[in-house]
Amino acid sequence: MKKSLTIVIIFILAVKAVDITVYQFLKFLCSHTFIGQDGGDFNKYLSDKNPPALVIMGSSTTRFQVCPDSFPVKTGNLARSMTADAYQLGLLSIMIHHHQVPKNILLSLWPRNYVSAKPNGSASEDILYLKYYYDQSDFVRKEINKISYTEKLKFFLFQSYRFNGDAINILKNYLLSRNYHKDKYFFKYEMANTDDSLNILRIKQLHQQVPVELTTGYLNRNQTRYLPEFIKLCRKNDINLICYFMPLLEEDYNFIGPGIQFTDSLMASNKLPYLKFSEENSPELFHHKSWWIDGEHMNELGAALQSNILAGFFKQHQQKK
Amino acid sequence: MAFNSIPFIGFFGVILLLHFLLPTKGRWILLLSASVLFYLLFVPAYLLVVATIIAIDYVVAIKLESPVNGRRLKFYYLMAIITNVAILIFFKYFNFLNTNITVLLSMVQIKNPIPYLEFILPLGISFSTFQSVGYLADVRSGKIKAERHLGYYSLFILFFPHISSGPIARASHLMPQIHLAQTAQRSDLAAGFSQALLGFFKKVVVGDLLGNYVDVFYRSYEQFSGFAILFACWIFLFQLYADFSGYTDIATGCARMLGYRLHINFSLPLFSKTMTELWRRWHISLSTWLRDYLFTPMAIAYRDWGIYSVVFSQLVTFAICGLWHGAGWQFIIYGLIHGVYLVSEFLLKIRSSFYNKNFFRKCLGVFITFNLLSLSLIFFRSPGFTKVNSMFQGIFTRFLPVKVRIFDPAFFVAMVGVLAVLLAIEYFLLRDLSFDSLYQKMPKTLLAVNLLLLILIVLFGVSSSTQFIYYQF
Repeated sequence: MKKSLTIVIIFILAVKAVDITVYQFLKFLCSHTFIGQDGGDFNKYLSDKNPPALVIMGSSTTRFQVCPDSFPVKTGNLARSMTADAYQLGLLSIMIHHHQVPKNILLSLWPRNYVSAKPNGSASEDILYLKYYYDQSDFVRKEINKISYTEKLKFFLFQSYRFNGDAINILKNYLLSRNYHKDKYFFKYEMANTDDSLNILRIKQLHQQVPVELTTGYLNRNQTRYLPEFIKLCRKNDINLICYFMPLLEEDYNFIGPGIQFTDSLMASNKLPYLKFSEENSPELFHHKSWWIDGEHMNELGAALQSNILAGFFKQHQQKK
Repeated sequence: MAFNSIPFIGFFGVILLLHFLLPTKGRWILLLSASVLFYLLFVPAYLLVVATIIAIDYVVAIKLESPVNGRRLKFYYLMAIITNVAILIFFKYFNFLNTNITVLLSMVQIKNPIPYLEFILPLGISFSTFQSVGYLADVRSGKIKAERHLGYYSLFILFFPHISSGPIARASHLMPQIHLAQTAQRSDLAAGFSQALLGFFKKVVVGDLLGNYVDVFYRSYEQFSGFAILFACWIFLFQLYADFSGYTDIATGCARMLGYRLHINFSLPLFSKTMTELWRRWHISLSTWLRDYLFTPMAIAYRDWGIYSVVFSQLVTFAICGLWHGAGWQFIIYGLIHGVYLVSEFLLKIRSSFYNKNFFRKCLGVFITFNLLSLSLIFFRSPGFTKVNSMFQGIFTRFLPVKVRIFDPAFFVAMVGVLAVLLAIEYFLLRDLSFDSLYQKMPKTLLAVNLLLLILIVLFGVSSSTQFIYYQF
């Protein structure tokens, strides 16, 4: 019994030692990483002595489609794939915590995020992409702890859990950061692929085979609570917030109807500049199927035009301020 | 309570500690109480269902040993088997049968009056039914004696490490261990812990990481080339293997720490050179159950048909195997495909020995088997035939991509990296470097392996605990 207990104690100590070592190592790499959506870009922003006047936020459709160079002011694209409003609000709260808020924010909205197929839809867990800031932001910590008590326990037990899911990206981006351009924020369009137009054709054919259900989704209260808070924080910190409804080639507008109503009324009541991409106002974007990778994402051909349209919209509303 | 959750780790830790503190005689009470609690945490009412099955099988098995009135005993035996199977059919296949009745009646323009029922499947019912039926068959054939201790028998069925997804236990293997209630040795604790940790690694790192890719792919497969579809099928096979063998490792590892040895369920199946060999290495507790209680008795019963008795028995056995996996035609077809694979190998006399002659042949055999299994799993993974059809169409009509687009290279690297770690560990374990021998000969290496697994789980584990794929069966 005594020997078993000794083995258990040795094992626990060894685990703790390895955990702290791995944490310190990754923390070092992370603090020297200035490229990448997994924290590198944001790291660069927070340590930038001459921060961008405009910060772009959103998910993958923003990350690979909105080029910072298209805008007339210094711009950083801090969008991250697979994220929604909780993540964006987390980013903003960390910026405020670090006293590094931009003058302008261009925020991409996707009304689908506010709608669920059933009443009482669940909250997304995109805040977990900000695990690294668990100890640095009250908002991030509270939101992560809300997910479940086991999350709290994981952070308590393992320091290195703060890098869960990001280790390889950090390593890759650390190596890339050694040659990074100090004044520019990294950006790369998705290259066009000759398969792209075929994809759209296949998607359309499939949708004809399997008709989309004509049901309307339910407004997801767990997801709608972040955007009003985001607007409030922007106002409080004197940030000029500009929003846009990203262009979508294939979307079930009937299903996302409540989400559209929610964003429309929120934008109107707060008198925010809001660009809704549609076939009516940007027909050229929707007519070239080869500009699209799938129903939601555009390749470099479409994205370059979208960036220019957004830059024009930003110009109008920046001047008004 | 899923195995890959922190509550389960806490639950198991408490049971393990109490198990050591209690005297040998009282351990079955602790384990049975823990198993009942584990079951109650799922859907409490279903405990009545499983208790009824246990009571019937317990009484009938004892009756089967009485020396008189053979015809009545046969009746009892058949009734017990029918009750077990009927309960499984009711819970698992009611809606499937009802759908088919609706389709048939609609052909003659009659509306089906039978309503659909909505309920969750009782925990591990497919596994426990096979276990009970196997027990009754063994008692009837005289292979084992009927268990007189109701508590022991209940524990045999409900034992929490295996109740939800197996391995399907045999009474001849587990019952003596329940009677002995041996204290786990230090080597059992070390090997059991390592095995459970490997199981966690397989599930939350390999299985769930690959699952993320497979989920994305299956949501938007129409935009990928045939090669990409095939690639996703390969990845799903790895996911399924990591998920299910991961579950089994946690189950057997936990049982081992309590002093019990469950059946080996996997033996590096992805390196099988023929489909026949694959079924000797994949889900061994199910395949041996099907062989002993279905295929062999059927083949013997129809032995007058000559070679066709084997063909017929094989096809029926695998159709049932497919149906056991899920209530749907795609599962029956999945099973039948495997039946056809095995029958073809039997008729064409394709043996592993043919591929064992040199390295090239070995690789060829593994490659063919791996692909045959991957393709059959399209039926297993897809919810309907439209998707199955589109995927096969994709593979065979637009195989080569003009240009491969990898959206997230780091994710791709992580995916390949964890697969390499998994296969390396499995390879070394099979080359006689079991956790037991590591503990005896190289305890420091075992400690290092455990630390590596743990840190990989912390760094790469998918944090939202998704359910095991076989949990639904």
